[in-house]
Amino acid sequence: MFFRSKKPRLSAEEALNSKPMRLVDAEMSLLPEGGMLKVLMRQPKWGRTLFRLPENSTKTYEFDAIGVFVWDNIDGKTSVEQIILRLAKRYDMNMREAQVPTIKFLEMLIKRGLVGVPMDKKDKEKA
Amino acid sequence: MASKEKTDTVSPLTTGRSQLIAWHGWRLNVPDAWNPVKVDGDRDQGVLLLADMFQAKLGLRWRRMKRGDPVQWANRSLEAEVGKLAAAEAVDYPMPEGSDWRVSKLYIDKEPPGRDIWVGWSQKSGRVLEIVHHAKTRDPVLADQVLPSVSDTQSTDPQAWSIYDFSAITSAEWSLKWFRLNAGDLTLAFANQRRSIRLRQVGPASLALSRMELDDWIGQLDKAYRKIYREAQNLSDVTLQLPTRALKGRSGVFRRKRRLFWAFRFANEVRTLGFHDPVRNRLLMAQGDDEPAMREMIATMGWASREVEK
Repeated sequence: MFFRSKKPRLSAEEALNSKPMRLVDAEMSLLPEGGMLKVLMRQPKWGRTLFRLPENSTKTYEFDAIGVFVWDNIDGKTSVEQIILRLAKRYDMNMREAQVPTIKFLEMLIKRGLVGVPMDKKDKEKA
Repeated sequence: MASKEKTDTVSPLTTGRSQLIAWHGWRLNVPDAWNPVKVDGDRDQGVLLLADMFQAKLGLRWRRMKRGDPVQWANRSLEAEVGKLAAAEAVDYPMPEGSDWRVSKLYIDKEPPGRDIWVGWSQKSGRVLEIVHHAKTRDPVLADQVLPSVSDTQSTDPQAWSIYDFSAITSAEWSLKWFRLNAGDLTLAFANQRRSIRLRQVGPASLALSRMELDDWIGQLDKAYRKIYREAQNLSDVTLQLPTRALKGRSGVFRRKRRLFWAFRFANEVRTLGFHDPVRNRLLMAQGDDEPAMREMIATMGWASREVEK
């Protein structure tokens, strides 16, 4: 569309060096095979008049063990590359085998609005 | 004052560890962080592209030479890759003694970033191999690490396979039919005339087994098999003796459906063997109609990691 702002595109190197951070304040409750994340649902703008969510309604995400590991490492200080290395080390995985699920999982978290990647001004200008 | 961030001491570019890649007879030693991102072709002609976390690092391209002079073939391949002027600057690269390389030419780009290229013709298999190293800076890894380790095997010798974390050795009569390389779930399917074997490795086993029991992993049949074979009913305990230890596992037999009694091209029964390797934290599975060969192949799984450890 003409007026839609373009989403900034990151190169592979920039993406791996980026430091993802959590956008929701939620506690992970651990389960034997992973964990469960309860997130407070946000009222959509259009829904304030048409449809109102009950107060304190939550959404639950189930994570497997790798998901919990990645979530624990998302702190705004650890880069994606470091998360991949730690995962590979923790589960004795090949680098590529650790990279693929980590990146896919982070993409999914970003899509759901649970995690964000801070952008530099330069990146925004590039977009 | 801003505190200095702690960073992991392990970096993909500085680990110094190496891994073995073995594919369609080729075998070479590459840095641990370089992993295949594109695998294509068969024994006669194919491509293998290795990349680190950021970019493509090494490309392998091979082709069987049907006729003509191997020197001319190698020169032509080099010219096609870097052009005539650059190809004229290529030097003969001495391969280790005892290796059967009749041609071995190396071109190093003088002004990186660029491509360093080695072209060789193997007497063992009659194939031309091109190795292209995408060098960002002056990096001696191609000449110092990769090239001295490049070797080839004859099609009549046992074939070694090593890709990602999967490694196995098959006897010469088994040829690779297809492969599926998903992260943590690697399958290679081999065929020998009408017989077939699929080798599968799932890891880490601690996660895989928390999701599903070993019996359920064994019970998983591919869709193509499910149409032909009934589900396994009696799973039994099996043991596989390795040189240093014994692996415990389960075995299941899938019999052909009665209504397909006329389909003689399919084996009467297909056996699946599944083992948990606690040392490597991997599940090793084999499915096929030749149990002795399956046992032999499973026993060799993980040979590459053992060799690197040595």
